[in-house]
Amino acid sequence: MRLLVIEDEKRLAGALKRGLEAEGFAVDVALDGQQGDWLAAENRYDAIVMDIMVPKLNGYQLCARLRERGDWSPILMLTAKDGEYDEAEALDTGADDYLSKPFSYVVLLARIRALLRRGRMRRPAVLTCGDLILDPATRRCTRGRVEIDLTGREFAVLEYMMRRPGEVVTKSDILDHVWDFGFDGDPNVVEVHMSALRRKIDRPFAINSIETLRGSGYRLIDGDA
Amino acid sequence: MPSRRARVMGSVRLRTTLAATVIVAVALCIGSAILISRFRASLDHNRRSAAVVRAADIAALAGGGRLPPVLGLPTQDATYAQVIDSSGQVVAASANIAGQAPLGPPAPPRSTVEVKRIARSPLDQDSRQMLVVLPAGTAARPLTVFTGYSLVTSDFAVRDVTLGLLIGLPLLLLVVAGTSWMIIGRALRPIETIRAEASEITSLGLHRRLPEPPGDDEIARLAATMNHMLARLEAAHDQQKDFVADASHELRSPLASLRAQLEVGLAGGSATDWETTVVGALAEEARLEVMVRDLLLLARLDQTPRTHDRIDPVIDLIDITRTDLAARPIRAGIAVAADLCGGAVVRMPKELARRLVGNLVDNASRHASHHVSVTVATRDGWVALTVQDDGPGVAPADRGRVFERFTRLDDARAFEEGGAGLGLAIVKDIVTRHGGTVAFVDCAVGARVEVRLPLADGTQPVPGASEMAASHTR
Repeated sequence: MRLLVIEDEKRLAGALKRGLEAEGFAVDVALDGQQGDWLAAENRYDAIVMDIMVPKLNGYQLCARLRERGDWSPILMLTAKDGEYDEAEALDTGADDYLSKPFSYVVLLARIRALLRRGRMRRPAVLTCGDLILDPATRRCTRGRVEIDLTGREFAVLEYMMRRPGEVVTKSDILDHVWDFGFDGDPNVVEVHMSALRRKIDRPFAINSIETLRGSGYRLIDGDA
Repeated sequence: MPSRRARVMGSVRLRTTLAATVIVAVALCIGSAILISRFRASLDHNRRSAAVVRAADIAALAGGGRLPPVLGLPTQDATYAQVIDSSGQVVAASANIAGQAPLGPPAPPRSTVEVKRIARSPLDQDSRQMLVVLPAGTAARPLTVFTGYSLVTSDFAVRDVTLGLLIGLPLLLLVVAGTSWMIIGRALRPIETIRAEASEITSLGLHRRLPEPPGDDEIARLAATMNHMLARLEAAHDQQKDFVADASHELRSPLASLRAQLEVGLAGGSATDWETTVVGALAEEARLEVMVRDLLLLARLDQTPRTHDRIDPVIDLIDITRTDLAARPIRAGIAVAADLCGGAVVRMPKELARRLVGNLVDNASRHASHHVSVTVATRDGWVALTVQDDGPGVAPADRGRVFERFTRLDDARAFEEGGAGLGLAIVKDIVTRHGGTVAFVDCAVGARVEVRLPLADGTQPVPGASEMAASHTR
């Protein structure tokens, strides 16, 4: 497994490299954001450990840049800041985990192992399907440049479908994942929300992105195609 | 929090209203008493003059020997008259007391007019009764004239006026109290609004401001002043928060590095290169030590009073600089030149002066390519300490910022031992707290920082020189 460590504290970076190599990882070290960006572009790392406060290109910017160009390497952010908003911002920019300094080396190792289990799967912080964009962090939905106002339930149904683009999802899948155990109502409630969603995200744009597959369920497709 | 009732009882509104009402009530009572007594005196006086004039008329008739047996009097008044001779025999009387006994003994001869109060009248009236006694007649036949009158009408008039005042005054007081209550309430309402808003503002909501009433009265000015105070509090609070955040960030970094190095070393077991680990750990420890020392010094400087409240020892900046340069380990490849002219005495504790010179030389030698020059000179009542290097210099836009705490310019961060960005902040604190100025000034190559401190040889510094230096700071 090959790791990239982006950290401007030379001795800390050196210690991490020694320690992680002793655990059997291959470790590259970058001392600033630009170098890290370059290394990440040249190699496919299995996980990246980065400090947020590094010179030239900070952790937030680097993380956003990596995700933008489709690099889904798991990212663990390190920071000496201890604000809860810093942590939330790091995770919402696309980082997978967060550790504040000073950290325990044992915990760092365990978290890196957990990140490696996740793999380089696509797991965007902001969901897109064609020009439909859904941001679960800010709870905003837009198509093109038009902001779409969704109710909480509509948002949840759409988010569930956008996480499975092109897949067939059944009515009971949606019921199971969007409604809680206590829901004992008519399964037709899904149809009601589906037609509300179509009215908001498709019809005003003359697009048909939610397909109904009679007898099996729904499929979200890139409506332009 | 006091109960609502207690608040109303203790309120300025109630107290002012009460005071106004009491003052008006006392004034009105005194005024009314004076009015009534004057009114009564004036009525009494009128009646008395009328009775005396009437007595004199009768006396004139008697003196002329034309005294009728029945004295004619205006009947509507409750008056009466009688004339007696020296033996007490009634000579004449008004019709309403005809046949009654004499009203008194004969007046002694050559006495003047006398007005006296009598217990009861011959007309059986209850009111106050007065009697005028006037000697008359001739020396051969002395007579005494009595005219009597009652004060019943003036008593009635006084009673009516008193009754009117008794009803009118409380009504007037009610109006006064009500109006005061309303006017004072209206005047105090903005204050209550300001108070309510101010009690909502806590250390968490310092961004909020009080409502400022329109106009430029005392209350508007109070609100404006309090808002300025809030702005200053907010600025101080934000600065404090930033400082704590920066300090914790700068303290966590070396701690994280220290812990990681030690834990990696432990995890490696026998394969660990312990010497590298310990050298690395010691380097972090040194960083922490410097930072703790700097933070403590800054905290102490924050508590030191400004120059004029304090007397510092006089020291020679030349000595300090010379000792510092001799003892300082300088980076390899850097040459430090010194140009020190004597007599540069300033008031400052020795250890602060050492930190001042040390931090400036450290900073310069960290950024210099080859040369650092240190100059100490005196002119115009100021001591000028100039440190120049031949490094990349400081951009004019950053020249104010570098003196703030925890400012590390990006290229400075790239240096191995960049420090925590406290060195120049300490320099600035020390200098300003001793009446001086510090600024980066323009120069052809590298950075040139100039410190000016008042010369401590008893002469007054020339103000212009200080302003010249200060203008660079802006």
